[in-house]
Amino acid sequence: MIPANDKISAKQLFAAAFMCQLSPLIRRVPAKTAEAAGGSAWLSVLLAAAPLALMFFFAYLLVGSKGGRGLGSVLKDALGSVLGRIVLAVYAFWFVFLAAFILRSGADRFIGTIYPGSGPSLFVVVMVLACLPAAMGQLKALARSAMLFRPVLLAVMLVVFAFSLPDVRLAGMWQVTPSNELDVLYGSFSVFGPMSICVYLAFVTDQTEGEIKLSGLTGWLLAALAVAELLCVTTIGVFGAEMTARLRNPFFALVRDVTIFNAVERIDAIVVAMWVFSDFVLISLLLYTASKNLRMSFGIEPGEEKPKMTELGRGRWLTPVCAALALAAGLAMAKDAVSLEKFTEVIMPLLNFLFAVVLPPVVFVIGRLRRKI
Amino acid sequence: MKKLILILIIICMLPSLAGCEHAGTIYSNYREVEQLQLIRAVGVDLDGEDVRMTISSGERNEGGESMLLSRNAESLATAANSLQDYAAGQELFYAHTQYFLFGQAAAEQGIERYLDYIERSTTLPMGISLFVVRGEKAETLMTRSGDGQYDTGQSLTALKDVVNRRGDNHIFTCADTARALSENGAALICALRPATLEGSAFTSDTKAEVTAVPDGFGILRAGRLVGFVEPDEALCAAMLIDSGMSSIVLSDADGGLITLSLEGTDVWLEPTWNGDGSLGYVDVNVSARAKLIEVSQYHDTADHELLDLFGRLLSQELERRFTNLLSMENQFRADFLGLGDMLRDRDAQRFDAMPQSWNELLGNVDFHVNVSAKVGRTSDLKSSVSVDGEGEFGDSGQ
Repeated sequence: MIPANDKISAKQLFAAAFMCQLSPLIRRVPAKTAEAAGGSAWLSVLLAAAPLALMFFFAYLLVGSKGGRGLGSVLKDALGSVLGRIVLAVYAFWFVFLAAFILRSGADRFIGTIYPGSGPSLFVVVMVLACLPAAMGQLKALARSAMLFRPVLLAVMLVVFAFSLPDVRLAGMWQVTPSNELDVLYGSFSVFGPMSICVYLAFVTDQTEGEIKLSGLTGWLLAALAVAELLCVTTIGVFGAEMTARLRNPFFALVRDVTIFNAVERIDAIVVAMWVFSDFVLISLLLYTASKNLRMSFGIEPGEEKPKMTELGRGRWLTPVCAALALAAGLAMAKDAVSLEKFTEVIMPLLNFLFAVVLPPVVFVIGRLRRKI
Repeated sequence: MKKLILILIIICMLPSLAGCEHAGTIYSNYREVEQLQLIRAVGVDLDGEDVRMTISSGERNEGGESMLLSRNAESLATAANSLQDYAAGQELFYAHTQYFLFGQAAAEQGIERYLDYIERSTTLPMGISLFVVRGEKAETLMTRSGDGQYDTGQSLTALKDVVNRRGDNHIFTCADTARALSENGAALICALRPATLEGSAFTSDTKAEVTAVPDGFGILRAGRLVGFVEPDEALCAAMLIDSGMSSIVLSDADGGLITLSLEGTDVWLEPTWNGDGSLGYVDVNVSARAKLIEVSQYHDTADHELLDLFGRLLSQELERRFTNLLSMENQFRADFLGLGDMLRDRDAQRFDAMPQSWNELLGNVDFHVNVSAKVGRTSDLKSSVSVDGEGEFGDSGQ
């Protein structure tokens, strides 16, 4: 039983989803779409809309629009008690691993932009320490923080886009020929991957109150795609496709050159630091969900009353354990940016595809065959 | 007990709040502003096998002193390290560097290693303006203009404003140049010439203070400087880049000078394709609108026929300049104007299906220049100033 006072609204859920996809979006979308589709990368974003819509509407149908049901309980119902619990635990470990990766790549963002030559350990440790209380606390507090952070980061992005506009050159971006249609399609995977991470929020839809409207989901998806499109067009418009593909952090390279009315410049340090908000929401939610899944897997009821932050009973000890595992994995994951690339390019996209795209439909089919959902 | 633990945790954290300067805080790269020496311009030259890096801290602040240093090293990064050793206790801070100047010899050897350095740097902005110093070393321009009242940073800032307003040249950033080189294999770079403040040409014997004046564009092919676009043709290149507007001087049949101000220009390309899909020729269409701003002898500028004549003269002059400019694309086999992109934007399918690629075609592309120019008079003067005493109101004032 979920504590009655730890419910979030659909709006808060969408705000959290928006915050969760920002970090992976910045890391992957401009460089990878430019690498695949060149100047036509903006089309890859549009092309990704269809599979993303399908995936989110599928998740929406799976958990139901009325709330009160999360993907965790769907898994248990569909796969049966034993297999369901095992899959829930596997998802929990995946979330811990994903949190470790976000921790490590967040540290890499700092090192690659404003703290060259630093080691990742300090950033990883500080981030875990910041996220642990949030993951131990209530979901509604985390969702409220997402509601607060969202307009801040949106405003920052809009300022960056607006002041980069004079340098944007759109020549060569509008021509799509049969020779690069496949490249555009391939580029759409780079948009689909980072945004698919939001499907994991289906594990907390049992904590939403009120109806999750289809129009709300559509609006959220369109807004997220608009941000991805602006990101693509602006970075490729300024640097060109080849150079964007070459840069490790094209968005932050863009920010480095933003000058506001010749009065304010070098806002990159502030903007990079602000992306901590996105990492904070995503990592905290992953740790929260991992702990919740493990509790469900072990059959531990969270209890109805609001727990104290320091209370470790009723399975709440699992959250610091998850955080410790994420910390250890984050520290051990990659010594430098080159080693991290293997995770960014191959391991994480493949695992994410498996857990976000492949497993939910498989669960659905098994559940239907067993007549459990 | 809990309160005691909390107090202990807070006490443990206190050492990390000891200040910004000292070790043990989380501010690992914090610097006091007073310790920073902001570098405004960087010059790069070749000295034998070495890179010679010159830095200028720009204008002198009240009570402060500007810094001008040069050092040799195997690479730019090691030269920067070496300069730091001689910075008299101040930390050289490159985050606000605005200008990067290449000596001609360094640019001829290739600038890609320097672009790579800027791209990789976490401090240097990609929007840094690039220049090549024509016929001289960057160090010469920077040290000579740093001697007196004007320094490199100041003169380049003034020059940038003037060029942007006047439109007869264009200052490219590192991002622009790197993008053009990676997409077209060629790029333009703003060329500067050292000149004395009195206006005389700079020579090695010149003792007077110098400043930087724009002198066309350098042409980069595969990252190396291969030639220059002269100022006359640079205006046409600027028209292709951002509808350059500037003044242009023509001479009429009687030897009189007519100065026009270009108010607006449009340039568009029209490819003609052969039956086998190859490129036949390229029409380069130019439409220019200009206003009369100065004439050296009396003209009735209300006379439309005369304005049409000026229009024809302007067309001829622009046609000559554009033809020269476009012949350089063939001469250097370098698409420094990005014409390939413009043609591809017209018809990507046909462009991609050409039997020979655009780069293979360069050298033999047939450009046909068509210019149509219209000249109007400035609205506040119906005719030019008459000095022969035979004007309509010539005697009335006596």
